[in-house]
Amino acid sequence: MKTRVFALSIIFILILSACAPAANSSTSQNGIEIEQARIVVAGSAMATSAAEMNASATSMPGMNMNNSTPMTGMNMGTSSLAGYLVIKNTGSTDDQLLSASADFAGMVMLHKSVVDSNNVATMQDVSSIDIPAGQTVTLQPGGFHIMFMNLKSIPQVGTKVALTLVFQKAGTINVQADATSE
Amino acid sequence: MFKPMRPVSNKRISYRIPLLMIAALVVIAGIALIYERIKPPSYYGSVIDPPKVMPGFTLQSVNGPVSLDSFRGKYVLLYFGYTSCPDICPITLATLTQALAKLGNKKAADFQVIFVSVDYKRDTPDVSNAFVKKFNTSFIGLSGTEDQINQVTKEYGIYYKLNPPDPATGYYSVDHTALVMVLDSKDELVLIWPYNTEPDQETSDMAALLSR
Repeated sequence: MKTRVFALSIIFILILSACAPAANSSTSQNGIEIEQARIVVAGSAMATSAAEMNASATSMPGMNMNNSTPMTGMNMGTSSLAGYLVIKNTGSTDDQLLSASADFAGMVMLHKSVVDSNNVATMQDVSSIDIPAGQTVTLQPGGFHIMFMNLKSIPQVGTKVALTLVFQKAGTINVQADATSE
Repeated sequence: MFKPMRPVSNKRISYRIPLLMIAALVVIAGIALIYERIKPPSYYGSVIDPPKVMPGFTLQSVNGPVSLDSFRGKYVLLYFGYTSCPDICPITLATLTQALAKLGNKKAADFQVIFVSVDYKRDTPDVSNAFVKKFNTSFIGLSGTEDQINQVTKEYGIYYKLNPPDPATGYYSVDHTALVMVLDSKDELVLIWPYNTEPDQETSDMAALLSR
């Protein structure tokens, strides 16, 4: 019985580990490794594209919707998007993330969200993000993020978008980020 | 002849011991259950004691004016933020969404999430509504004029500041107090969840509120 459980868990772990690399593609260049790049398109699984909303809205009873008046309401609350990623400096020299850009955004900035001891949330522009040698810096909600503004289009959840990151030492690195719902 | 029925009584005792143990366990479990019921509930959030009566407000929703007192009888989970908020506000609303899902539909119906945008320049009622509906269709997003927002934030002890726009993009961020205020069915402030309260903690607090 115990050996069976053990064998099953080994198989399970193997399955998991086989899946993991496919889910998190990493990009590496000049000692800088980028992992888990993602752009948060909406807060939850509730988020649907405007097209899907139209499709479901037209079939909703009591709602006068026709296809000639496309509903863009779902994206109305979206004037900016935040991007997150994990940056590993596997080299022996300190580096800095200087800037980022993407086709879908007219303006991209590096920001840091801070909630102080009085529970006041502020967002600070940062000119660069330090990536010390041998360390991993995670851009994550509640900390550093890449802010995409002046949006030309809003990436669809489930698709990949190209990002360009510029590092002081490692130079320009192109990564594919997942457009995710959270 | 007199012969003590030893084997029989031994057999009785051998039954009696496990029975007594089971009975003891039942009693202990019973006491534990009763204690769980009668002990004062503990909260992860900051308890406001005595509860503070909060002034009413009327702000704009996508379907017209909405007043706080129209939610009398429900708990109101009130949050002030802005829709261009990249992470703090979405995290807070996503946390509430998860916490309510864990609580279950039936109990969650006793709680109304109200998001008030302090960004009176950009966030119209449409924008505020579209923002919260991404998280949960039951959430209500409200907006107000500068005067209305100034009044309600002052009354609720919420700090906010619209920062100067970026010259290149016109984008500006908004500094704001980021906490969820829990108002009871009589519009009294009973609990505050600071930023970073976990969904499980909120679920536990909501269950505790309903059981008192």
